[in-house]
Amino acid sequence: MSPLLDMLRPDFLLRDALLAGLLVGIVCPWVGVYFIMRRIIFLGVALPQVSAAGIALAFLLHNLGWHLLPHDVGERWMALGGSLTLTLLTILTLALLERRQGSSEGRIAAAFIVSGALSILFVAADPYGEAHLLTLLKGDIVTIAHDTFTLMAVVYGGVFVALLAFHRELLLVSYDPEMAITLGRSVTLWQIVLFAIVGITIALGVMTVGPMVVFGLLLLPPLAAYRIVHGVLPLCVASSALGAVSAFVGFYLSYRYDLPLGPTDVVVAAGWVVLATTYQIARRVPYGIRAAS
Amino acid sequence: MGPIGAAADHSGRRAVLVSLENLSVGYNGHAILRRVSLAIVAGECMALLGPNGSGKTTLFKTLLGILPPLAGAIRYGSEHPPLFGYVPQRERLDSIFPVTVREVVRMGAYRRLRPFAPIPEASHGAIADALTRVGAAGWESRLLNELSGGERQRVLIARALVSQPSVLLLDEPTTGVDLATEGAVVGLVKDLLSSGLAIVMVSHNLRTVEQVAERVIWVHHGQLQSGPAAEMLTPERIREMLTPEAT
Repeated sequence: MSPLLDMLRPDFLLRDALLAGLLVGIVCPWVGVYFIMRRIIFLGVALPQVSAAGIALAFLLHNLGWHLLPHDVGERWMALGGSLTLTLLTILTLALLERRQGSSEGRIAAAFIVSGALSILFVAADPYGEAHLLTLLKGDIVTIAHDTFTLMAVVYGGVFVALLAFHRELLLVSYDPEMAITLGRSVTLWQIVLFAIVGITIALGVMTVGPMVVFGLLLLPPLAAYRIVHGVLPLCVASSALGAVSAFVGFYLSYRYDLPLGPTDVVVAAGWVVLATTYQIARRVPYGIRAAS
Repeated sequence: MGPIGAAADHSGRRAVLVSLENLSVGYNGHAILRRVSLAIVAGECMALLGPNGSGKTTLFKTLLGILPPLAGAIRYGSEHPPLFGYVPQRERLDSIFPVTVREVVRMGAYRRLRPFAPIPEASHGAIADALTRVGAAGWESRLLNELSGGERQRVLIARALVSQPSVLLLDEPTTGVDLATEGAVVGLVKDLLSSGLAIVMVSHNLRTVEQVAERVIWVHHGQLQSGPAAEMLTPERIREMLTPEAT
């Protein structure tokens, strides 16, 4: 049987991994649109790194005898707890410091480099299972457990519904916060909603597919779609569609040619950027020739 | 236009929509304008003039509730505050957003909408009407950042009109626009005034102010000087008001 038909079978062995990849491919690019429009792309690099540090910290504390969760809690839940806690704490801290003097890019860069260093130190200090922890930090979607997939489906489903339901509010407070206040919207409330969505999406995504894929899918599909569509809602929809196709094609190539899944997804997503840029240039060329003649 | 009812009472006096009483405005406890007292009246265009950084936009932001007043009070002519429409300086909006004209003008209809609720038919009519009034009908699918400065200004005015305000705040509506747009804005302001809207305008364009403002307020060294446009726009007064503060 061909690998493609194999993937589409209902009893496909890696069905949960395929569907989890599609979920990340749909949700992360929609969230990534806000990263690009609000000019906080670097936050998209930093937060997955912070999330990874949260996972390492949770395991280190657990193995040192600090049982923050009940003893019988599975390691994936512990990873999620650590990832989510540190990601949301970092977002909150950066948001509180936003109004202070100084460079917000500098603060984000500091969060990125410090969390990267701490991840390595936490793993090195962990007396148990360094290799296993490294797998968790890199994300290993192929071995996703069914309960983790179920959690992911519920949470990402909720995030997607929230993105659709609150699109108007999130766009308004991102684009023109003063107009939002004039129209009776609480900018603070909707900023919190947006950053909670960002934090949850990244924390869960890093745990399942790893920081590289999360950042790749946050950034590359919106960058490609930005070149071919008009309007913010069409940009969100097109980004999600490109992300889902990237995840599917990436999975197929990985399965067919035995390639590592994460990097394959990212390279496929980058292919859309190349195609979209070529299309954009090709559209402009006739105008350029006309203008010159 | 906006739900302001009659612009004048039975005695012919125009209704006061907003009163500022000894209002001080500024940032982080530092007052830029002190003890401002004025009334915004239905059907009147009031122009705020003064050098950059004198506090005109800060006063707007305080009126809109974006900044809290540092002292004094804002009182309203009725039980509820009037609906404000705001046309910001167009350079303030980030051009990285690939928003279409349709998306921008629809924002004006968000005031009464809950999440997931579709835009009601009446608002669709208001959007089409506002675009026609500002001469932007047919631009719905165009990207805002591909429009000229004057065209963008028209779209932002349309967005403010869709929000059905009773007080319209215009922040430098004709600065850096072509003559056609300036003429269109002036015509539109006159039209809106006749329908009972109150308009407060910040402008550096004295030609626009002369054409539409009944009352002119100079922001001068942290204080306001107010009077009829004819008195406040004489060459001597303009020279006096634009003299830098002695240090």
